[in-house]
Amino acid sequence: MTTLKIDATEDLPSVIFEDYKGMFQISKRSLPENAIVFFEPLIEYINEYIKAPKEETTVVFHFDYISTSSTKQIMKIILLFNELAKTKKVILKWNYDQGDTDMLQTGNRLEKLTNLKFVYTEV
Amino acid sequence: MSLSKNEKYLTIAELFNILNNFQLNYAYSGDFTNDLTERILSLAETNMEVESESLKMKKKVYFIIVESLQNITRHQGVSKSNGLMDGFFSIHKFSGGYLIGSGNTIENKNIESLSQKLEKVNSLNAEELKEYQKSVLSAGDFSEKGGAGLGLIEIVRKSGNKLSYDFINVDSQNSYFYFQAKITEATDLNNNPEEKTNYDIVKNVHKVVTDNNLKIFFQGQFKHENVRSLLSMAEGSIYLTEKFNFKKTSVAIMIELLQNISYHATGINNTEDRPGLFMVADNNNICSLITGNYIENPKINELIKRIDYVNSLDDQEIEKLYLETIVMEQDDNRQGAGLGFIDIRIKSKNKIEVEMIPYTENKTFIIIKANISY
Repeated sequence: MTTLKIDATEDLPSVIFEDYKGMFQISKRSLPENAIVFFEPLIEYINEYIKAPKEETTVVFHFDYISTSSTKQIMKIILLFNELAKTKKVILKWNYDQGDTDMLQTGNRLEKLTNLKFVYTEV
Repeated sequence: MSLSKNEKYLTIAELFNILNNFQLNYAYSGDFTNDLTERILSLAETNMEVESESLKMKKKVYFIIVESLQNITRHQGVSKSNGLMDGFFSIHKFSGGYLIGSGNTIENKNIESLSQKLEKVNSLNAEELKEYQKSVLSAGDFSEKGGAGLGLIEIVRKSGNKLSYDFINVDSQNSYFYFQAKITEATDLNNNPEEKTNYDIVKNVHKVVTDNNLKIFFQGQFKHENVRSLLSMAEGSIYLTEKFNFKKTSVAIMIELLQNISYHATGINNTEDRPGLFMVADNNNICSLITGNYIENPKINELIKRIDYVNSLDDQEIEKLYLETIVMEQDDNRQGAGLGFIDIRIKSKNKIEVEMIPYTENKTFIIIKANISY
Protein backbone atom coordinates (compact mmCIF):
# COMPACT_ATOMS: atom_id res chain seq x y z
CA MET A 1 0.00 0.00 0.00
CA THR A 2 2.36 2.67 -1.17
CA THR A 3 1.79 5.49 -3.58
CA LEU A 4 4.31 5.88 -6.35
CA LYS A 5 4.48 9.55 -7.15
CA ILE A 6 6.85 11.32 -9.54
CA ASP A 7 6.53 15.04 -10.18
CA ALA A 8 6.65 16.19 -13.76
CA THR A 9 9.73 17.99 -15.05
CA GLU A 10 10.46 19.66 -18.37
CA ASP A 11 10.92 16.26 -19.97
CA LEU A 12 9.59 13.69 -17.52
CA PRO A 13 5.93 12.86 -16.92
CA SER A 14 3.88 13.16 -13.80
CA VAL A 15 3.22 9.71 -12.34
CA ILE A 16 0.66 8.88 -9.66
CA PHE A 17 0.19 5.18 -8.97
CA GLU A 18 -2.13 4.33 -6.04
CA ASP A 19 -2.44 0.59 -5.65
CA TYR A 20 -4.92 0.90 -2.74
CA LYS A 21 -7.31 2.77 -5.06
CA GLY A 22 -6.53 0.75 -8.16
CA MET A 23 -5.64 4.05 -9.82
CA PHE A 24 -2.75 4.60 -12.23
CA GLN A 25 -2.09 7.94 -13.90
CA ILE A 26 0.69 9.13 -16.19
CA SER A 27 0.54 12.58 -17.77
CA LYS A 28 2.34 15.55 -19.36
CA ARG A 29 5.47 14.88 -21.41
CA SER A 30 7.62 11.81 -21.50
CA LEU A 31 11.00 12.41 -23.14
CA PRO A 32 13.47 10.66 -20.84
CA GLU A 33 17.07 10.21 -21.86
CA ASN A 34 16.65 6.48 -21.28
CA ALA A 35 13.06 5.28 -21.35
CA ILE A 36 13.83 1.72 -20.23
CA VAL A 37 15.51 2.98 -17.07
CA PHE A 38 12.78 5.52 -16.33
CA PHE A 39 9.86 3.10 -16.74
CA GLU A 40 11.46 0.12 -15.02
CA PRO A 41 10.22 0.96 -11.48
CA LEU A 42 6.77 1.79 -12.85
CA ILE A 43 6.49 -1.59 -14.54
CA GLU A 44 7.77 -3.29 -11.39
CA TYR A 45 5.08 -1.53 -9.32
CA ILE A 46 2.35 -2.66 -11.70
CA ASN A 47 3.67 -6.24 -11.67
CA GLU A 48 3.37 -6.23 -7.87
CA TYR A 49 -0.13 -4.75 -8.02
CA ILE A 50 -1.32 -7.38 -10.45
CA LYS A 51 -0.52 -10.09 -7.90
CA ALA A 52 -3.27 -8.70 -5.64
CA PRO A 53 -5.38 -6.35 -7.73
CA LYS A 54 -8.56 -4.44 -6.89
CA GLU A 55 -11.86 -5.50 -8.44
CA GLU A 56 -11.72 -2.42 -10.61
CA THR A 57 -8.60 -0.70 -11.97
CA THR A 58 -8.50 2.68 -13.68
CA VAL A 59 -5.57 3.68 -15.87
CA VAL A 60 -5.34 7.25 -17.15
CA PHE A 61 -2.92 8.57 -19.72
CA HIS A 62 -2.77 12.19 -20.79
CA PHE A 63 0.32 13.06 -22.75
CA ASP A 64 1.38 16.39 -24.06
CA TYR A 65 4.35 14.89 -25.92
CA ILE A 66 5.71 11.37 -25.83
CA SER A 67 8.88 10.03 -27.43
CA THR A 68 8.62 6.75 -29.32
CA SER A 69 11.01 5.10 -26.86
CA SER A 70 8.50 6.01 -24.12
CA THR A 71 5.56 4.83 -26.22
CA LYS A 72 7.16 1.42 -26.34
CA GLN A 73 7.30 1.32 -22.53
CA ILE A 74 3.71 2.57 -22.27
CA MET A 75 2.71 -0.29 -24.56
CA LYS A 76 4.35 -2.71 -22.11
CA ILE A 77 2.32 -1.17 -19.29
CA ILE A 78 -0.90 -1.37 -21.30
CA LEU A 79 -0.25 -5.04 -22.09
CA LEU A 80 0.08 -5.77 -18.37
CA PHE A 81 -3.34 -4.24 -17.75
CA ASN A 82 -4.67 -6.01 -20.83
CA GLU A 83 -3.68 -9.27 -19.15
CA LEU A 84 -5.32 -8.18 -15.88
CA ALA A 85 -8.53 -7.40 -17.77
CA LYS A 86 -9.01 -11.12 -18.36
CA THR A 87 -9.95 -11.55 -14.69
CA LYS A 88 -10.76 -8.05 -13.35
CA LYS A 89 -12.39 -4.90 -14.58
CA VAL A 90 -9.95 -2.46 -16.21
CA ILE A 91 -10.90 1.01 -17.46
CA LEU A 92 -8.30 2.62 -19.68
CA LYS A 93 -8.72 6.33 -20.30
CA TRP A 94 -6.73 7.97 -23.07
CA ASN A 95 -7.03 11.72 -22.63
CA TYR A 96 -5.55 14.16 -25.11
CA ASP A 97 -5.36 17.92 -25.56
CA GLN A 98 -8.06 19.55 -27.58
CA GLY A 99 -7.24 19.21 -31.28
CA ASP A 100 -4.25 16.94 -30.71
CA THR A 101 -5.07 14.40 -33.42
CA ASP A 102 -1.54 12.93 -33.36
CA MET A 103 -2.02 11.89 -29.73
CA LEU A 104 -5.50 10.51 -30.43
CA GLN A 105 -4.04 8.41 -33.26
CA THR A 106 -1.26 7.11 -31.03
CA GLY A 107 -3.99 5.92 -28.63
CA ASN A 108 -5.91 4.28 -31.49
CA ARG A 109 -2.78 2.46 -32.59
CA LEU A 110 -1.95 1.09 -29.15
CA GLU A 111 -5.55 0.05 -28.58
CA LYS A 112 -5.36 -2.25 -31.62
CA LEU A 113 -2.84 -4.44 -29.84
CA THR A 114 -5.16 -5.05 -26.89
CA ASN A 115 -8.60 -6.41 -26.11
CA LEU A 116 -9.37 -3.26 -24.14
CA LYS A 117 -11.74 -0.54 -25.19
CA PHE A 118 -9.96 2.77 -24.63
CA VAL A 119 -12.09 5.66 -23.40
CA TYR A 120 -11.04 8.76 -25.35
CA THR A 121 -11.57 12.23 -23.96
CA GLU A 122 -10.49 15.50 -25.49
CA VAL A 123 -9.62 17.84 -22.62
CA MET B 1 34.21 36.08 -46.43
CA SER B 2 32.06 37.30 -49.27
CA LEU B 3 29.29 35.59 -51.15
CA SER B 4 30.09 34.99 -54.78
CA LYS B 5 27.56 32.83 -56.60
CA ASN B 6 23.84 32.77 -56.24
CA GLU B 7 23.24 31.35 -52.78
CA LYS B 8 19.55 30.68 -53.20
CA TYR B 9 18.10 27.18 -53.04
CA LEU B 10 21.14 25.38 -51.79
CA THR B 11 21.19 21.79 -50.67
CA ILE B 12 21.34 21.41 -46.93
CA ALA B 13 24.96 20.26 -47.21
CA GLU B 14 25.91 23.41 -49.16
CA LEU B 15 24.00 25.62 -46.79
CA PHE B 16 25.66 24.01 -43.80
CA ASN B 17 29.10 24.47 -45.33
CA ILE B 18 28.53 28.15 -46.01
CA LEU B 19 27.15 28.89 -42.55
CA ASN B 20 29.96 26.86 -41.05
CA ASN B 21 32.45 29.21 -42.71
CA PHE B 22 30.82 32.02 -40.74
CA GLN B 23 31.37 29.94 -37.61
CA LEU B 24 27.67 30.15 -36.97
CA ASN B 25 26.44 28.47 -33.81
CA TYR B 26 22.93 29.76 -33.63
CA ALA B 27 20.58 31.87 -35.70
CA TYR B 28 16.94 32.79 -35.42
CA SER B 29 14.88 34.74 -37.89
CA GLY B 30 11.33 35.74 -37.08
CA ASP B 31 9.29 37.41 -34.38
CA PHE B 32 10.81 37.83 -30.98
CA THR B 33 8.74 37.72 -27.80
CA ASN B 34 9.94 37.97 -24.22
CA ASP B 35 9.14 34.29 -23.79
CA LEU B 36 11.25 33.35 -26.81
CA THR B 37 14.18 35.54 -25.81
CA GLU B 38 14.24 33.82 -22.43
CA ARG B 39 14.36 30.46 -24.15
CA ILE B 40 17.17 31.61 -26.45
CA LEU B 41 19.12 32.83 -23.42
CA SER B 42 18.61 29.55 -21.64
CA LEU B 43 19.83 27.64 -24.70
CA ALA B 44 22.92 29.84 -24.98
CA GLU B 45 23.58 29.35 -21.27
CA THR B 46 23.32 25.55 -21.28
CA ASN B 47 25.39 25.47 -24.41
CA MET B 48 28.23 27.46 -22.88
CA GLU B 49 27.94 25.14 -19.89
CA VAL B 50 28.30 22.07 -22.10
CA GLU B 51 31.23 23.72 -23.93
CA SER B 52 32.90 24.41 -20.54
CA GLU B 53 33.35 28.09 -21.30
CA SER B 54 35.12 30.22 -18.65
CA LEU B 55 32.88 32.07 -16.18
CA LYS B 56 34.24 35.40 -17.34
CA MET B 57 33.44 34.67 -20.97
CA LYS B 58 30.02 33.27 -20.10
CA LYS B 59 29.09 36.47 -18.24
CA LYS B 60 30.23 38.72 -21.07
CA VAL B 61 28.42 36.71 -23.72
CA TYR B 62 25.27 36.47 -21.64
CA PHE B 63 25.18 40.23 -21.09
CA ILE B 64 25.64 41.04 -24.77
CA ILE B 65 23.01 38.52 -25.84
CA VAL B 66 20.53 40.14 -23.44
CA GLU B 67 21.30 43.61 -24.80
CA SER B 68 21.09 42.48 -28.43
CA LEU B 69 17.79 40.68 -27.94
CA GLN B 70 16.39 43.71 -26.12
CA ASN B 71 17.30 45.88 -29.07
CA ILE B 72 15.42 43.59 -31.41
CA THR B 73 12.27 43.33 -29.30
CA ARG B 74 12.27 47.08 -28.64
CA HIS B 75 12.26 47.91 -32.35
CA GLN B 76 10.27 45.16 -33.97
CA GLY B 77 6.87 46.78 -33.32
CA VAL B 78 7.46 48.95 -36.34
CA SER B 79 8.43 46.08 -38.59
CA LYS B 80 5.50 43.86 -37.68
CA SER B 81 2.80 46.42 -38.36
CA ASN B 82 4.28 47.32 -41.73
CA GLY B 83 5.02 43.76 -42.79
CA LEU B 84 8.71 44.55 -43.02
CA MET B 85 11.63 42.25 -42.46
CA ASP B 86 11.76 39.92 -39.47
CA GLY B 87 14.13 40.36 -36.60
CA PHE B 88 17.36 38.44 -36.73
CA PHE B 89 19.75 37.18 -34.10
CA SER B 90 22.93 35.10 -34.37
CA ILE B 91 25.74 33.67 -32.25
CA HIS B 92 29.11 32.84 -33.79
CA LYS B 93 31.89 31.06 -31.97
CA PHE B 94 35.49 31.35 -33.06
CA SER B 95 38.66 30.31 -31.28
CA GLY B 96 39.14 32.84 -28.50
CA GLY B 97 35.68 34.30 -28.40
CA TYR B 98 32.22 34.93 -29.72
CA LEU B 99 30.46 37.23 -32.10
CA ILE B 100 26.87 38.22 -31.42
CA GLY B 101 24.86 39.58 -34.31
CA SER B 102 21.45 41.13 -34.60
CA GLY B 103 19.27 42.71 -37.22
CA ASN B 104 16.08 44.72 -36.96
CA THR B 105 14.06 47.35 -38.75
CA ILE B 106 14.66 50.93 -37.74
CA GLU B 107 12.76 54.05 -38.76
CA ASN B 108 14.90 56.29 -40.95
CA LYS B 109 14.27 59.29 -38.71
CA ASN B 110 16.01 57.47 -35.83
CA ILE B 111 19.13 56.52 -37.75
CA GLU B 112 21.03 59.73 -37.20
CA SER B 113 20.88 59.72 -33.42
CA LEU B 114 21.76 56.03 -33.25
CA SER B 115 24.68 56.50 -35.68
CA GLN B 116 26.01 59.31 -33.56
CA LYS B 117 25.98 57.15 -30.45
CA LEU B 118 27.64 54.28 -32.29
CA GLU B 119 30.33 56.52 -33.77
CA LYS B 120 30.94 58.12 -30.42
CA VAL B 121 31.50 54.86 -28.51
CA ASN B 122 33.65 53.50 -31.32
CA SER B 123 35.89 56.57 -31.29
CA LEU B 124 36.94 56.13 -27.68
CA ASN B 125 39.72 54.04 -26.17
CA ALA B 126 39.22 52.03 -22.99
CA GLU B 127 40.05 54.89 -20.61
CA GLU B 128 37.98 57.47 -22.50
CA LEU B 129 35.06 55.08 -22.61
CA LYS B 130 35.12 54.74 -18.84
CA GLU B 131 35.11 58.51 -18.44
CA TYR B 132 32.35 58.90 -20.98
CA GLN B 133 30.21 56.34 -19.16
CA LYS B 134 30.61 58.32 -15.94
CA SER B 135 29.64 61.57 -17.60
CA VAL B 136 26.58 60.06 -19.26
CA LEU B 137 25.49 58.52 -15.97
CA SER B 138 25.82 61.79 -14.06
CA ALA B 139 24.12 63.83 -16.79
CA GLY B 140 21.08 61.60 -16.49
CA ASP B 141 20.16 62.18 -20.10
CA PHE B 142 17.83 59.29 -20.77
CA SER B 143 15.76 59.11 -23.86
CA GLU B 144 12.47 57.26 -23.88
CA LYS B 145 13.90 54.46 -26.02
CA GLY B 146 16.22 53.46 -23.24
CA GLY B 147 19.18 55.63 -22.43
CA ALA B 148 21.85 57.71 -24.01
CA GLY B 149 23.73 54.77 -25.42
CA LEU B 150 24.54 53.34 -21.99
CA GLY B 151 23.76 49.90 -23.34
CA LEU B 152 26.18 50.47 -26.21
CA ILE B 153 28.91 51.69 -23.87
CA GLU B 154 28.49 48.59 -21.75
CA ILE B 155 28.55 46.32 -24.78
CA VAL B 156 31.83 47.82 -25.95
CA ARG B 157 33.38 47.70 -22.49
CA LYS B 158 32.31 44.11 -21.86
CA SER B 159 33.07 42.80 -25.34
CA GLY B 160 36.48 44.44 -25.40
CA ASN B 161 36.08 45.33 -29.05
CA LYS B 162 34.72 48.09 -31.20
CA LEU B 163 31.27 47.64 -32.70
CA SER B 164 30.41 46.84 -36.30
CA TYR B 165 27.13 48.03 -37.75
CA ASP B 166 25.38 49.01 -40.92
CA PHE B 167 22.09 50.50 -42.09
CA ILE B 168 20.49 49.20 -45.29
CA ASN B 169 17.70 51.32 -46.70
CA VAL B 170 14.38 49.47 -47.11
CA ASP B 171 12.01 52.26 -48.16
CA SER B 172 11.34 55.96 -47.51
CA GLN B 173 10.34 55.20 -43.91
CA ASN B 174 12.53 52.33 -42.81
CA SER B 175 15.94 50.76 -42.91
CA TYR B 176 17.39 47.53 -41.64
CA PHE B 177 19.98 47.87 -38.93
CA TYR B 178 22.78 45.30 -38.62
CA PHE B 179 24.77 45.14 -35.44
CA GLN B 180 27.59 42.88 -34.37
CA ALA B 181 29.63 42.72 -31.19
CA LYS B 182 32.80 40.68 -31.02
CA ILE B 183 33.70 39.31 -27.60
CA THR B 184 37.25 38.35 -26.71
CA GLU B 185 38.95 37.64 -23.39
CA ALA B 186 41.37 40.53 -23.93
CA THR B 187 40.36 44.14 -24.55
CA ASP B 188 41.29 45.60 -27.90
CA LEU B 189 39.87 49.11 -27.96
CA ASN B 190 42.92 51.07 -28.88
CA ASN B 191 43.01 49.68 -32.37
CA ASN B 192 40.97 50.76 -35.31
CA PRO B 193 37.60 49.18 -35.94
CA GLU B 194 37.50 45.70 -37.39
CA GLU B 195 38.99 45.17 -40.79
CA LYS B 196 36.30 45.42 -43.40
CA THR B 197 36.24 41.69 -44.20
CA ASN B 198 34.91 40.86 -40.74
CA TYR B 199 32.43 43.69 -40.86
CA ASP B 200 29.74 42.00 -42.82
CA ILE B 201 29.42 38.63 -41.12
CA VAL B 202 25.93 39.22 -39.79
CA LYS B 203 24.77 40.86 -43.01
CA ASN B 204 25.95 37.90 -45.10
CA VAL B 205 24.60 35.28 -42.76
CA HIS B 206 21.27 37.08 -42.64
CA LYS B 207 21.14 37.01 -46.43
CA VAL B 208 21.85 33.27 -46.60
CA VAL B 209 19.33 32.58 -43.84
CA THR B 210 16.52 34.61 -45.40
CA ASP B 211 17.25 33.50 -48.99
CA ASN B 212 16.91 29.90 -47.87
CA ASN B 213 13.95 30.59 -45.60
CA LEU B 214 15.70 29.36 -42.50
CA LYS B 215 13.92 30.07 -39.24
CA ILE B 216 16.27 28.37 -36.81
CA PHE B 217 19.87 27.23 -37.07
CA PHE B 218 21.74 25.52 -34.26
CA GLN B 219 25.11 23.85 -34.36
CA GLY B 220 26.70 22.47 -31.24
CA GLN B 221 26.59 19.63 -28.78
CA PHE B 222 23.52 17.43 -28.61
CA LYS B 223 23.67 16.19 -25.07
CA HIS B 224 20.51 15.59 -23.15
CA GLU B 225 20.62 18.88 -21.24
CA ASN B 226 21.07 21.17 -24.21
CA VAL B 227 18.76 19.14 -26.43
CA ARG B 228 16.13 19.97 -23.81
CA SER B 229 16.91 23.70 -24.12
CA LEU B 230 16.98 23.47 -27.89
CA LEU B 231 13.59 21.84 -27.96
CA SER B 232 12.18 24.42 -25.58
CA MET B 233 13.53 27.25 -27.75
CA ALA B 234 12.12 25.76 -30.95
CA GLU B 235 8.79 25.13 -29.25
CA GLY B 236 8.64 28.77 -28.17
CA SER B 237 9.19 30.09 -31.66
CA ILE B 238 6.18 32.07 -32.77
CA TYR B 239 6.39 30.52 -36.19
CA LEU B 240 5.36 27.20 -34.67
CA THR B 241 2.83 28.43 -32.15
CA GLU B 242 0.50 29.94 -34.74
CA LYS B 243 -1.18 26.68 -35.70
CA PHE B 244 -1.81 24.22 -32.89
CA ASN B 245 -1.79 20.99 -34.86
CA PHE B 246 1.19 21.97 -36.95
CA LYS B 247 3.07 22.83 -33.77
CA LYS B 248 2.20 19.52 -32.16
CA THR B 249 3.36 17.55 -35.17
CA SER B 250 6.53 19.60 -35.59
CA VAL B 251 7.57 19.30 -31.97
CA ALA B 252 6.83 15.56 -31.92
CA ILE B 253 9.04 15.07 -34.98
CA MET B 254 11.76 17.27 -33.53
CA ILE B 255 11.77 15.09 -30.42
CA GLU B 256 12.40 12.00 -32.53
CA LEU B 257 15.07 13.63 -34.68
CA LEU B 258 16.90 15.04 -31.67
CA GLN B 259 16.72 11.80 -29.70
CA ASN B 260 18.04 10.05 -32.75
CA ILE B 261 21.20 12.16 -32.53
CA SER B 262 21.74 11.58 -28.85
CA TYR B 263 21.27 7.82 -29.31
CA HIS B 264 23.15 7.11 -32.51
CA ALA B 265 25.60 9.90 -33.24
CA THR B 266 29.31 9.54 -32.80
CA GLY B 267 31.80 12.09 -31.52
CA ILE B 268 34.73 13.44 -33.48
CA ASN B 269 37.46 13.78 -30.92
CA ASN B 270 36.03 11.67 -28.12
CA THR B 271 33.14 9.29 -27.78
CA GLU B 272 31.26 11.49 -25.30
CA ASP B 273 30.94 14.32 -27.81
CA ARG B 274 27.68 14.67 -29.72
CA PRO B 275 28.34 17.39 -32.31
CA GLY B 276 25.36 18.02 -34.51
CA LEU B 277 23.17 20.36 -36.49
CA PHE B 278 19.53 21.38 -36.21
CA MET B 279 17.63 23.60 -38.62
CA VAL B 280 14.07 24.65 -39.27
CA ALA B 281 13.27 25.97 -42.74
CA ASP B 282 10.01 27.02 -44.30
CA ASN B 283 9.41 26.94 -48.05
CA ASN B 284 5.96 27.43 -49.56
CA ASN B 285 3.99 26.00 -46.65
CA ILE B 286 6.35 23.10 -46.16
CA CYS B 287 8.19 23.14 -42.89
CA SER B 288 11.45 21.22 -42.97
CA LEU B 289 12.98 19.94 -39.77
CA ILE B 290 16.60 19.07 -40.34
CA THR B 291 19.22 17.41 -38.21
CA GLY B 292 22.79 16.48 -38.96
CA ASN B 293 25.32 14.38 -37.07
CA TYR B 294 28.40 12.24 -37.56
CA ILE B 295 28.03 8.50 -37.81
CA GLU B 296 30.48 5.70 -38.28
CA ASN B 297 30.62 4.54 -41.90
CA PRO B 298 29.77 0.87 -41.21
CA LYS B 299 26.41 2.06 -39.82
CA ILE B 300 25.41 4.03 -42.91
CA ASN B 301 24.09 1.18 -45.02
CA GLU B 302 21.77 -0.07 -42.34
CA LEU B 303 20.45 3.44 -41.70
CA ILE B 304 19.84 4.21 -45.38
CA LYS B 305 18.19 0.83 -45.88
CA ARG B 306 15.89 1.55 -42.95
CA ILE B 307 14.91 5.01 -44.21
CA ASP B 308 14.38 3.73 -47.77
CA TYR B 309 12.18 0.97 -46.44
CA VAL B 310 10.09 3.31 -44.32
CA ASN B 311 9.78 5.67 -47.32
CA SER B 312 8.65 2.87 -49.59
CA LEU B 313 5.61 1.88 -47.51
CA ASP B 314 2.07 3.11 -48.04
CA ASP B 315 -0.19 4.28 -45.20
CA GLN B 316 -1.49 0.83 -44.29
CA GLU B 317 1.89 -0.84 -44.48
CA ILE B 318 3.53 1.75 -42.27
CA GLU B 319 0.77 1.40 -39.64
CA LYS B 320 1.36 -2.34 -39.67
CA LEU B 321 5.11 -1.87 -39.28
CA TYR B 322 4.50 0.49 -36.32
CA LEU B 323 2.47 -2.14 -34.50
CA GLU B 324 4.95 -4.91 -35.24
CA THR B 325 7.85 -2.79 -34.05
CA ILE B 326 6.28 -1.55 -30.84
CA VAL B 327 5.84 -5.05 -29.42
CA MET B 328 9.20 -6.29 -30.66
CA GLU B 329 11.64 -7.48 -28.01
CA GLN B 330 14.15 -4.74 -27.36
CA ASP B 331 17.86 -5.16 -26.85
CA ASP B 332 18.67 -3.58 -23.48
CA ASN B 333 21.69 -1.81 -24.92
CA ARG B 334 19.58 0.03 -27.44
CA GLN B 335 17.96 3.16 -26.12
CA GLY B 336 15.83 3.79 -29.17
CA ALA B 337 12.73 1.74 -29.83
CA GLY B 338 13.32 1.48 -33.58
CA LEU B 339 10.12 3.47 -33.99
CA GLY B 340 11.61 6.91 -34.65
CA PHE B 341 11.64 6.94 -38.45
CA ILE B 342 8.30 5.14 -38.61
CA ASP B 343 6.77 7.78 -36.38
CA ILE B 344 8.35 10.63 -38.35
CA ARG B 345 7.07 9.17 -41.62
CA ILE B 346 3.53 8.74 -40.24
CA LYS B 347 3.32 12.17 -38.61
CA SER B 348 4.97 14.17 -41.40
CA LYS B 349 3.04 12.35 -44.17
CA ASN B 350 6.08 12.92 -46.38
CA LYS B 351 9.19 11.00 -47.33
CA ILE B 352 12.24 11.39 -45.16
CA GLU B 353 15.19 12.89 -47.07
CA VAL B 354 18.86 12.13 -46.52
CA GLU B 355 22.05 13.94 -47.53
CA MET B 356 25.60 12.88 -46.72
CA ILE B 357 28.88 14.76 -46.41
CA PRO B 358 31.95 12.51 -46.25
CA TYR B 359 34.04 13.56 -43.28
CA THR B 360 36.92 11.13 -42.73
CA GLU B 361 37.70 7.60 -43.87
CA ASN B 362 35.60 6.28 -41.00
CA LYS B 363 32.97 8.92 -40.43
CA THR B 364 30.28 10.70 -42.39
CA PHE B 365 28.11 13.68 -41.59
CA ILE B 366 24.57 12.55 -42.22
CA ILE B 367 21.70 14.99 -42.69
CA ILE B 368 18.10 13.93 -42.14
CA LYS B 369 15.22 16.07 -43.26
CA ALA B 370 11.54 15.65 -42.38
CA ASN B 371 9.02 17.75 -44.29
CA ILE B 372 5.63 18.73 -42.92
CA SER B 373 3.04 20.28 -45.21
CA TYR B 374 0.64 22.67 -43.52
